[in-house]
Amino acid sequence: MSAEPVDVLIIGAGASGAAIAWSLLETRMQIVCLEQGGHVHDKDFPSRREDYELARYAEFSCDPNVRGLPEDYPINVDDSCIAPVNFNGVGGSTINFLGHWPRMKPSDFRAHTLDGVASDWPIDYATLEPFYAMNDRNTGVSGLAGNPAYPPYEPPHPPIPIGKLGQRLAQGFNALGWHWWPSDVAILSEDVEGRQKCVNAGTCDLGCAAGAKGGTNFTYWPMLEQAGVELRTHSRVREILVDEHSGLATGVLYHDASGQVQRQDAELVIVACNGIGTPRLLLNSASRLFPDGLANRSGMVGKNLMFHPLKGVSGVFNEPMDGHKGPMACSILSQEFYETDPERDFVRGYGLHSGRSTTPMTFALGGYGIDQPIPWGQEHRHVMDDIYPFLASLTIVAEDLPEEHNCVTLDPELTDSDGIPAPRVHYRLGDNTRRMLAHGEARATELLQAAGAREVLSKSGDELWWRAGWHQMGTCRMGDNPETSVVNGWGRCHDVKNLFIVDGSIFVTAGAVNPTSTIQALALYIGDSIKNNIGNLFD
Amino acid sequence: MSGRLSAEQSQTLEQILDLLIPGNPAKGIPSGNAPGVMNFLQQRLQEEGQLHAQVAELLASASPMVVTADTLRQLQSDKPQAFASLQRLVYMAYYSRADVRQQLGLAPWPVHPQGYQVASETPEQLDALTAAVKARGRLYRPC
Repeated sequence: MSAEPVDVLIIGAGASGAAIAWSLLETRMQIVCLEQGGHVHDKDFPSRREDYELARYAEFSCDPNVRGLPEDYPINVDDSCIAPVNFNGVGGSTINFLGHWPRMKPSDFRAHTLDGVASDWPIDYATLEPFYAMNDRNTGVSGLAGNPAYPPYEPPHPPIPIGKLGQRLAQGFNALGWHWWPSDVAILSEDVEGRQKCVNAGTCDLGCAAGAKGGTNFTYWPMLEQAGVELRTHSRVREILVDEHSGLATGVLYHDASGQVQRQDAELVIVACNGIGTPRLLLNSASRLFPDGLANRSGMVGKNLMFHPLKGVSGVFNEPMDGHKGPMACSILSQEFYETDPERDFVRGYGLHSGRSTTPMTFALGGYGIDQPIPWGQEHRHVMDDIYPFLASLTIVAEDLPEEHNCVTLDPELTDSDGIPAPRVHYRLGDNTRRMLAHGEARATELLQAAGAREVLSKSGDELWWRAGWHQMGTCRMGDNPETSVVNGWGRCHDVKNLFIVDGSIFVTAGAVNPTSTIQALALYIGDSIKNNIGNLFD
Repeated sequence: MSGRLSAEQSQTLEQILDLLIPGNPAKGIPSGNAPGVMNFLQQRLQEEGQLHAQVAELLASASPMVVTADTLRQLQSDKPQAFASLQRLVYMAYYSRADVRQQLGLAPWPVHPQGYQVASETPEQLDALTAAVKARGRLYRPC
């Protein structure tokens, strides 16, 4: 069955799909967005239930292989040391992300020139800056101006409280003379237009029922639907279609809520399915013209997968740290070790992010940086009574470098509920990242001791957080050279001139910060570029 | 195989619950055999046949003797997978209880809409805390 052609077809209603839809609204083009999940209403968020923690191990798990909902696609992780996590629904992973909102830094766009690794981006920080600011306003970002780790900018809302835990860690950073700053967060510190300010529930991953967290389910989508953007939920794209003569995308085949295959034609197709979903879709869209996957003449679709490998280090203090109060991951952030230092045995760097101690069940089942249940018996009592309330933690967020062997391919057997081949992730930790994490672990230990911790807890050896694959980047990277990149400097596929990609897959490097603010700034920038080039868009 | 645990199995499991999570009477914290935990376990075991089979096998190894910490350590060593499944299930059952959460200093109610009160730092406090950071000057590489 085929519907009337539309001007713009966006695949995915998460962070980037929503942002570019907003950017293109003013063109008055007819916009349709296909989303494989449904609306997730705030009244249904688990944080409204008494047994809210149980949802983390069932329908609100961050791991699609645990959730296993019909709208999820399984991911084969047999060949990976990190499991990708996500959410499928209107808002995408901004439903369950933690709202940490640091920008990338100017040097992140020049890693090759400055440090001789990876590639430079075809755009720079200054180009993106107005779009960061625009998106911060649309999202409702809270933070403190004046951070010396960035060129000047001003978050639109005052900072959220850093709390007892943040203050204690800040004193440690000051004692060592290291950088720290209150985190920029996509979490409201004051009521704004029907959204309530943060109530410090500490369960950001279970959906923010206050609407304080700037998921696109609360920010862009209500506005977009009111403005006439058609959002078709439970619509999973099977394949992007291409005209063999013109080489242009003509539309998509998708499964509707009943599983029936539908066709939707469009003048312009925009892919916004994240760093794993996007290469999966392109590889599933192979044709005679593109036998190795759509827009994949470079062979780079699916290659160079980057995560942010994480390691947690916790300090046990002498007074309760109230770690369950406040946004889960957002208090303060140090970028003391972010930039390359030739004295170290690695290039690029990492951030030290404060972390809270979560809720009791989550801690007992796999506490901070542990991933294993805490012991049973008298040791259990000791941990819950004498350690858990006194924890303040740091997460080392390491910059991953692009390596071709880290990649997304199609699994030969595994499929989703519509029979579409599932992705398989091949990922191993690079030596540079390994050295960086070891350095970070030592510095985090030093900091926690300087802050007054009586004991420091860490995972042993090379053990990483397993479900650390929140940030999926690099698998359809940007670049000026069609032989080494998938999209150009404004998101248009080199090989298919009416096909755009706007999600984290187009990142050239990963930086060492949470990527959502950059993903959305990029989407707004690409939307702007489409508008500026509308007269000769497909030349 | 699924279904309710027998009376004998339940009795053994109750002993195990006390050992897995000892209470702290001084703080009013109940043990793993707190009211509601067995019901939660029974319900999950009825729903999940594989889990029921694992737990039943574990209980058969422990029953009918009096269960001690040594018994439990032996079970953990002999049947690590089944023991891990039970341990995980017990932690979920126990910590989903509002009264347990409250004894650990958290709110017993759902965290939304009420949440928690956290005082904001004043601008003066933040100025004082960040003064040293600002004094060290720019930390990014311009390019």
